[in-house]
Amino acid sequence: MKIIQCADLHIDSKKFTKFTPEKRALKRHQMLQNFVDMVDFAEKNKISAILICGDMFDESKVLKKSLKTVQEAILSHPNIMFFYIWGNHDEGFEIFDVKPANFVVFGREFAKFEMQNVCVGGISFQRQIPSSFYEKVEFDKDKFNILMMHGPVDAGDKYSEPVQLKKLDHKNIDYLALGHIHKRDEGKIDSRGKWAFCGCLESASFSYLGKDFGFYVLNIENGKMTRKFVPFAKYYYQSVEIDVSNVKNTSDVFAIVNQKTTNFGLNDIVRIVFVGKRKEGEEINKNMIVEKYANQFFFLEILDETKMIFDLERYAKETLSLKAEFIKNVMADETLTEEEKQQICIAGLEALKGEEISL
Amino acid sequence: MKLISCHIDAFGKFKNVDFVFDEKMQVICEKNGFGKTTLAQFIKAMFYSLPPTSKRANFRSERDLYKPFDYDGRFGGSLTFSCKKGDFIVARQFGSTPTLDKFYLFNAKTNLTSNVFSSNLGEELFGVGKETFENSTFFEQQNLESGINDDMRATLATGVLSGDDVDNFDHAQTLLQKKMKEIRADARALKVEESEEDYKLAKATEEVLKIKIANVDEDLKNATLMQTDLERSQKHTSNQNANVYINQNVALGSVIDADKVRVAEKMQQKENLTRDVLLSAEEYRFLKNDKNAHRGHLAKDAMYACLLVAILGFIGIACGGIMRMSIILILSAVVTILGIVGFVVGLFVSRSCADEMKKYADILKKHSMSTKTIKIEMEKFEKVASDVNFLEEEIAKLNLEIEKKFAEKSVIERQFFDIFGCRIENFYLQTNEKSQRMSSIEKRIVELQTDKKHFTSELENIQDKIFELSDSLSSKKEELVESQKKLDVLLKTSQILENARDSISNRYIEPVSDRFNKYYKKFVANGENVMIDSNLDLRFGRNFSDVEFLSAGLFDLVYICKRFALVDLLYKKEKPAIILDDPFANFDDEKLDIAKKLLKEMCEDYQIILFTCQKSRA
Repeated sequence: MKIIQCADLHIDSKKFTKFTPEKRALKRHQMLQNFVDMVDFAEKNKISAILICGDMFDESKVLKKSLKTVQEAILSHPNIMFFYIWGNHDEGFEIFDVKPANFVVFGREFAKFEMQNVCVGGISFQRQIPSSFYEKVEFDKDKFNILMMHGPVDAGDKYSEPVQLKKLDHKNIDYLALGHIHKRDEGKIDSRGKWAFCGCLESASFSYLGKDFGFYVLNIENGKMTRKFVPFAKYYYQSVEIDVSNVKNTSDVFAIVNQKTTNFGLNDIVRIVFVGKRKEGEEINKNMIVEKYANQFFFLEILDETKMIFDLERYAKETLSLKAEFIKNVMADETLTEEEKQQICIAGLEALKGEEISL
Repeated sequence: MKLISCHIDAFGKFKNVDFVFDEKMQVICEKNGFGKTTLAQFIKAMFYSLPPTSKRANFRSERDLYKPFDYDGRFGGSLTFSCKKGDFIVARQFGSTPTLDKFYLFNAKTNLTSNVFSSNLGEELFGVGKETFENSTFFEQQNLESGINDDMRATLATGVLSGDDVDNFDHAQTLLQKKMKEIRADARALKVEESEEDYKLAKATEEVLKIKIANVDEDLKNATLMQTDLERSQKHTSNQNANVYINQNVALGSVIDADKVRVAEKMQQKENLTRDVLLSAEEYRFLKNDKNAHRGHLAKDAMYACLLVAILGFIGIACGGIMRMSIILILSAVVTILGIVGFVVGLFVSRSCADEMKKYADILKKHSMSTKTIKIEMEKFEKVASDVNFLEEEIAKLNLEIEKKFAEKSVIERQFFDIFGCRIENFYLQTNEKSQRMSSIEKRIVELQTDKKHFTSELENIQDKIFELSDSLSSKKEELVESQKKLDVLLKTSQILENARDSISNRYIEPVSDRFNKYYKKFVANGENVMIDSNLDLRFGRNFSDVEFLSAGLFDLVYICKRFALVDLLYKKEKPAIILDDPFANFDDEKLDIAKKLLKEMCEDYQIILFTCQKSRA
């Protein structure tokens, strides 16, 4: 029997505030389409069940068309069982008013469902999972048992307490299918079972970079499981760091950007972070970089985290220079953060030089 | 810079007038009304042109003030001057607006047009703006006070600053302001408030739709309940069930009606039978059964017989007495006694049967019958009595049957009412009403379902809109926060830059103060200290009193000294001609002498043009 484990689809996420409205819609659509494509994949690959381990939706208010698409995908595949638990984002969300036979939601109490020699149990996300749940978890030792949960394992986070793996010890669990952490991760419960986060289907922020996002296909035969990861993301968050300490001019910056982004394309959401130190006069014109590269990627963001070094000793000697007086005043202002000092100095110097302010 | 001469085509009251200026000091001593101020304004206008016509009703600009009274198309003139770059003739003709002004510059040596200076001659020549020129070199007696403007501050600071920093300050501020303006414009273009309003409106619409749906649901629930009740009631009270009761009821009613007809017939028969019988059954029974009346009549008859016997006995006694026949007498006495006894008994008995006898007599009287005829009537009565009795029995039976049927009918009607909730006779009427109600409820349910579908669809659409608006609003708000951060940085940049400028600018206080004191001490050797702040405001004495409290002469003096100090410091490119429009009018003789000496000294460095109306001040 083949089963898909997926989680954290975050359909209808509103996170992409920096994108243009069109690209926000496009990214959102893709995250929805991923689910549809995954169900088609399941159909083609004779998958018996799909485990959706929470956060299928980004919040309980979703677009009508998104809900309809999800419903249609489930209803049009009656031969595939869909097991769904709520995550912290879609807690209590009802996909169907009347649940179809191939759709099972595990609520706030432990429940299980048997399919031949495989038993799937689960409980939806709760900030603190009641201890009674751990007492109630019980599986037949002769079956292959899967438990679905949503939450962190090592330590709690701002959303919830961690899943208490020790309390799941010796409960005949073969596989704890987890959602919540967007990166793949895994570990052991006891001598019999293991836990695994399959990660999100597609990243929705620069916190999760690269292409390593998708779902697991569990293949259970004769009580033994083999597992395969299927990368499924369509858009990839990429971040490159460029140290401009020794870069002389903008064309050098372009050359480094070219080199570092050579593998990126229109499906990449790119962040270029400039770091290092630069001297006064060594400018990075972010607007020029955006203008040059914006159309080469799905989205481009430039972060200037460089530190501009000012020759304060020289300025200290200049008593009659407005520029020196300005820099000294900025540096002496204790109410300003370091970042503000940098920005003010750059803006002020640009203005004094009569250049366009690049802020 | 030295003024050489000027020719006024037309300017204020002057028309076609020429003036020549001495290289060092030119004193123009004329009576009031000569046009000294006009000439001074003409010189300034040649360098700095004239401002546009004022749009304010209560204010006249210099262009309005000095437009010739008899304007004939000429308004302007020319001025010949020498400077480091050579000798030039500037000629200006002023139109109704600055755009119509004409400017010419000629090389005074070659008389050829020169491009050394543009129409912005004053600024290019002196390196200061018009306002600074007015506040420094242009001494009007009525307007000696002068403050400091950015141009003056920058020019003064130039003296103490290096490089082009100060020149760049204004441009830098302009760039910062421009950037802030752009950011503000971009922020405004986001129309966050508008989006928030749209969002609030959409949320309000969502709430309204939810309420509408809840109301429709409630109505739908009630309508469905009514429908269910009605269906249940119709199910239990189907016509088929009702018909069983109705048929039974109708059958019973028919039987009752038939029995009633039969009773009526029997009654009719009975009436026919008893039509010729005078006596009623009661009378007959009385006559037949009552013995007392008969006894009474007998007693009455016996009483009269006894009375007759008693009378006869009495006659016998009389006869016996007459005849003295004792036997007759005894017999008659016995008869008499018996007669009296019989009479008394008869009387008693008849009296005791008086009621019955009266009733008997009434019956006879009622039917006009005699004792004989009554017997006939009684016989007649007896003859039909058995038939009547039979009929009455039949009628009684029928009435009993009717009562029984009525009872049964009542039971059926009660049962029917209990089951169907209405009287049998109203059943079909109510069934029809129910059918109409059911149809109306069904129609209402369809309407409500349509409404619900419509509202749900609207709700879904508005929720989608809310989603989009919320998404867009979050993005806009994030952008707004970014803009605000940028504005904050730019504002701080501008402020710090200004502080830096001020911090440097303040360093010109010392040179201004030195220069001021250089002149001031010439007039008031042991005078009180005068303090000058960075705004070039003056304060006097130990208490730092406002100069307003000084005497008119001293007041003019400190401002004249300040202007001399400013002229010394402001003009780096060209030393200007100092135009003094009778500034010493308030000076006493001592100060006037000092002023004259000072001017003599100053005319070594500056060309002095002094206008006055008194020879003593010339």
